[in-house]
This record gives sequence, structure tokens and C-alpha cells, in this order.
Amino acid sequence: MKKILFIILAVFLLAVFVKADEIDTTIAQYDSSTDAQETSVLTELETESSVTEEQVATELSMPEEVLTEYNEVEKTIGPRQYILNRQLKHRIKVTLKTSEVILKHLERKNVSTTELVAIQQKIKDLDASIDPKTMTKAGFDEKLALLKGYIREFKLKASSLSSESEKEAMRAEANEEVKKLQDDNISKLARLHNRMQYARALRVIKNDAIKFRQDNEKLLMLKERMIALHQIRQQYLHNNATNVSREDIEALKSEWKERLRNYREDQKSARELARQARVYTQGIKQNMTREQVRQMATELKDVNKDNIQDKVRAFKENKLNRGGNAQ
Amino acid sequence: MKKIIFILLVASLLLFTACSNKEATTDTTTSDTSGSTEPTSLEDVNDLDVVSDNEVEVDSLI
Repeated sequence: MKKILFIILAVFLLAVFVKADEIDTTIAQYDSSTDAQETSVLTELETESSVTEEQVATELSMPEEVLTEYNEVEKTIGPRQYILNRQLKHRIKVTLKTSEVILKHLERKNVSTTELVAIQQKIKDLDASIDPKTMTKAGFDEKLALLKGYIREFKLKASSLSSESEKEAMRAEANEEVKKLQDDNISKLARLHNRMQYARALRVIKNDAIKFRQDNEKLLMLKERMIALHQIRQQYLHNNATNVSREDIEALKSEWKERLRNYREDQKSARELARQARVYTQGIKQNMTREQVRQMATELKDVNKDNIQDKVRAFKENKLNRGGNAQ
Repeated sequence: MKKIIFILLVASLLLFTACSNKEATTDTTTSDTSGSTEPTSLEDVNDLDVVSDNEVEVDSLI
């Protein structure tokens, strides 16, 4: 029985020592981190976050007039809406091209196409009514709903006029024709927009990190998190990526959110570690024992670089007095 | 003497009015150009406003 009690006691003491050593090591590691280690991450963030539209446009080999339009809409409907408008225009073009293929096939069969031509005309009118540079979200929603309605109407009527094998042949021909309509500039606009949005977000992270350092906190614990946020670009925002799907974008958004959440959580822990390190170092300076310092590191809150000396002195005196009274 | 004081008073009043108007105009200009808002806090950038190549999806006709 005595043996068991002895073992439990030994394990307990060992755990206390290990824990104490852990704090010592963490704080020593924290204190030894250098400015150079931290500023290298900030420099990388600085480079990426200060990228200009002109730089990205050059990387993307974007025609000058497309960049000019992008800059113009920045002050009006915004690049996002502009890209959606251009995508809608492109969808209409594709729909019209497909309708031409269908009508050609049906006319060859001597089938009456009057109703289908009328719907096609409505789609043409819709196309003509859209100016991508000025259409707002409300206009976009309305036109998209109209297009979907016309497509439904056309599809319903055309479907009953052809066999499955004819449809297959029309599909193949339409695909060939649609390929010729490919407009790389729409993708380039999306790449540019995404990159600029990312740069804006990164600027906030960089400024937050700088503010954090100004508060006299080290970035040691945030370094990895900052690198992770920075790496999002390599993973998801390639300049040469083609056909970026909705799934890719959803993955990017969710990954960003997750990494930002980690950054914020670690920032809280970093502040706590900074507090402990400050208290610890000051305690040693004021000739307190390691045991007292460890205790103080857990108990002494609300300290900053300006009040640390006084707070530690007060804690020490209070501690000594309490010790004296107890004796 | 009274006339001079009166003229000075009117001139100061006019000058003051002119300055106030100029300030008001400047303020309007500033608020007009501050349309594009730069995010400032971490909360502001929680959601990245990025777009895919197929944000606009519609059915095929065939």
C-alpha cells in the first residue's frame, strides 16, 4: 500500500516538474524569437497585399481595354456584378448559338419553327437590352429569370420535334460551335477580381499583425497561421487556372474562413503567452524565486509594457506580506 | 467711423459665409469619393468575395 502511495506521489511530483519545465521552455522559446524571423512573414504579406491591378493584369496578359473597363466599373456597379453580367451575356450567346443549330436541323426536316423563332427573337432582344457595364444586381436577377423562362419554353417545344438520336447529333454540333465562342477575358476578369479581393483581405491581416507587434507582442505563434493564410493563393488562386468551378470557390472560401479562425484563436493565445512571458521576465528581474514567478504568471492579469514593473512589485510585496502575516 | 465698422462687420460676415460654404463643399466631395470601402477589421474579411467561372448557370436548349 505504501509503495502504491509512493508511486502516485512520485508521478504527481514528476507531472508538476514537467509542467513547470514546459512553461519555462515555452517562455524561453518565446523570448528567443527574433525580429528577423517575424518580419520575414510580414514582408511576404506586404508583397502580396500591395499587388496592383496593373501588375495582375500584366501577369494575366489581359488586354488593356478589359482592364480599363474593370477600373471603370469599380466606381459604379463593382467588378463582381460586372463579371456576372459578362457571364450572363456569354450564356445568352451560347443559348442563341445552340438555338441556331436546332432551328437549322428542324428546318431541314421541314418542321414548322415559327414558335421557336419567336422565342429566339425574345432571347435576342434580351441580349440587346443588356449592357454589362451598367446593369445592376436587380436588373441582372430580372434578365437571368427571363432567360431561364425562355430556355424552358424553347426546350419544351423543341423537345417534342426531334428524336433522341437527332438530339444527340444537334448536341454534338452545338458543342463544336459553342467552343468557338470561348471568351478568355471573362475568366481573366474573374482571376483579377479574386486576386484583388484576396490582396484586400491580406492587407487587413498584415495591418492586424503590425498592430499586434506595436502592442509589443511577438508574432512567433502567429507566424504559421500567417503563412497558412498566405499559402491560400498558391493553392487556389493560380493565374493560369482555367474553368474555376463553384466547388473550387466554395472550397477556397471555407479554407480561408478556417485559417482565419485559427489565426484569431492563436492571436488570443499569443497575447496570453506574451503576458506570461512579460510577468515571468519581470519577476526574475525583481529577484523572485522561480516558484513565485510561475505562480505570478498564472495569477497576475491586465499587465502591459507600461505597468508591468509596478504590477510585479505590488504582487511581490503583497505576496511577501501575506507570507509574513502567515508566519 | 460707424460706417467703417459697419463695412468691416459686413465684410467679415461675407468672408465667414464664403468659408463655411467652401467647407461644406469639401465635405460633400469627400463623402462622395469614399464610396469604395476598404475593410479594416478581421471580421470584415471573414468572407472572401471571390467568383467562379460559372456563377451564372442556365439549362442547355437540347
